[in-house]
Amino acid sequence: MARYLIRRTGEAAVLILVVSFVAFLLVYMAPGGPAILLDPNMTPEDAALMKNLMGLDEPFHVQYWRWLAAIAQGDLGLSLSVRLPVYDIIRQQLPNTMVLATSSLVLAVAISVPLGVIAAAKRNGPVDQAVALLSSFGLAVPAFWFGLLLVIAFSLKLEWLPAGGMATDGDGSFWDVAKHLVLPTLVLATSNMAQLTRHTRSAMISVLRQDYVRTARAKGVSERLTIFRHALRNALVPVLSVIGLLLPQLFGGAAVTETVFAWPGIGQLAVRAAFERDYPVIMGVAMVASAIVILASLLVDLLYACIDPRISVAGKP
Amino acid sequence: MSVSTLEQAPAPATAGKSPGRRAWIRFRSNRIAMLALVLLGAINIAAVFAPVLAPYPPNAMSIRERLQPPSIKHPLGTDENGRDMLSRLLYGARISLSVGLAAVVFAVFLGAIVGGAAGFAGGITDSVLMRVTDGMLSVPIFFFMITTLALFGATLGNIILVIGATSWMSVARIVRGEVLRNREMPYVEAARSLGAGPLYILFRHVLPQSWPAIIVSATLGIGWAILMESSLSFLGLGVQPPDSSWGNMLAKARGYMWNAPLLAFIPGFAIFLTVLLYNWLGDGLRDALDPTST
Repeated sequence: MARYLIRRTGEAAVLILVVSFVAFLLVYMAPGGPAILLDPNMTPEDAALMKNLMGLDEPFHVQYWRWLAAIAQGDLGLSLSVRLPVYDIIRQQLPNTMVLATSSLVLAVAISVPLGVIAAAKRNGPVDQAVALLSSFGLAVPAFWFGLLLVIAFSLKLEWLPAGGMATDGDGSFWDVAKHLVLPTLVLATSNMAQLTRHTRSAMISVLRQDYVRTARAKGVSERLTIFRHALRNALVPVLSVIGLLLPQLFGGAAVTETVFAWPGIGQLAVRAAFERDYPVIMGVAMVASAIVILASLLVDLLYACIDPRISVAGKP
Repeated sequence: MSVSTLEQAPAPATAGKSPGRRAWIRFRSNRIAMLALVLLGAINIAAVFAPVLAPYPPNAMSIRERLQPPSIKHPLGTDENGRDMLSRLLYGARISLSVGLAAVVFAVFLGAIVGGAAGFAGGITDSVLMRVTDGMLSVPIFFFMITTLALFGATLGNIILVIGATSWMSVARIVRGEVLRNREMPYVEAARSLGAGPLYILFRHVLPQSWPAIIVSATLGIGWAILMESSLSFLGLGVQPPDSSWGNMLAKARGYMWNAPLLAFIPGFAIFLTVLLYNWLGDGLRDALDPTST
């Protein structure tokens, strides 16, 4: 177990380093280079001077090392468009994304696991087919379109829920924020819900084929008890690892969902920064989001290994 | 019951047929997959013949006819510049579908190279390449896609490259598995002893065996690629105006949600339907080509 823990943590650290390298390389290779982005009308002499001042004429590895050393100290640089430290901007907006991502994940698990279990228990029945149809819809629906339809229905026509933002001006109460959270949560959860339902169903089906389930049935345990006491516990183990795989999509999807609903999180921040070519912000968000997802997946994997001792023995999750 | 029917009964319908033929017989009996195949055929043909089918040029503006509801003259109404929606939808299909297809072709190519290299080289190369494959799936890659397109420009070529470069992983796993399974087979050894290089063996001997799994993965990948393209275009980091893709049509329609909700509904529904049909087709192909998997 200890060896597995160390190896898995080392892998996560290497992955974060590789991600930082890719993020830096992308900006380094961008046509025109970062200095040109400041002012396209700059004369070549001014540009050269600017590059010199910003240290952009130094070799790649020197620049990368300096950037990496700064990040390690929590210094993500200055935003080009608003002249504020990127760290402060991200720190301000990250909690909003975490709220949205967490509520979506909770909703996805709360709906998908029961649906998947029921579908597996009533395999090939009408309920199973309805669940399959719903999840194929959930996988195919473009999040931004689904979001707009919900806004048209619930905000513009019915006027039940706000169309965007995180709170009404002058109001920041829990219920106000909760009302703003409903539609974005639903949109962000949809695709995850569909995938999680499918995985729960197939995990449950393979567990229901196991000998101990047959034994439970044979000794007269009721179907309900068999499914919830014996089968579900073991089916939940692979489901947990799927949740780890869904985290990247949860954060990536936040970019679209937050833009649709003007939710002030880091996804929306990244999209806006991309438009303004505010590269310190883009790199900062990409780094922070990747680090969070990688660490969260690490946590899920370690949890997974605790629950299922076969993992750390076999060595490969 | 007569004796003759008893004698005929046990022969299964697929006996004595080639694997492709058997797969087709299985596929044909899947109603949802057949429906998807027929509708996708129609959608793709409509996209190819858009210049013939579209009643107007896609960018022909008519300010007097802006934001019109569906009529005989404009079957799906007009947009905020008075452009005919049906025509734009048909031309948008050309871009959305071809970007999806091109991205998947690129992804299959990349996946075959990575998976083939990992499988043939083994050892440290294999573990590094497989760690990269896993790594690609465990970071929020979408942020890197928008970063790349913002920095390098959202041209059609870049969009295809970015989507392809982020969706080769399942093909790489399939090909690697197939290489490992075949590497020590006598026929591969025979080919090698005759002087065939790894690339030749990969493309001539291993890939043909992986086609069923690759086709399934690629079909599901087209749906994913179309979703990605439309998301990027919706954010304004994908297909740029005046070119119309389904995603950027929807982005424009956002501003007219109250007056003309249909404007936002139609392109989104086109994306939804096409992606859904590709996924159904992919599921159907999986059931037909590999009946043992669930």
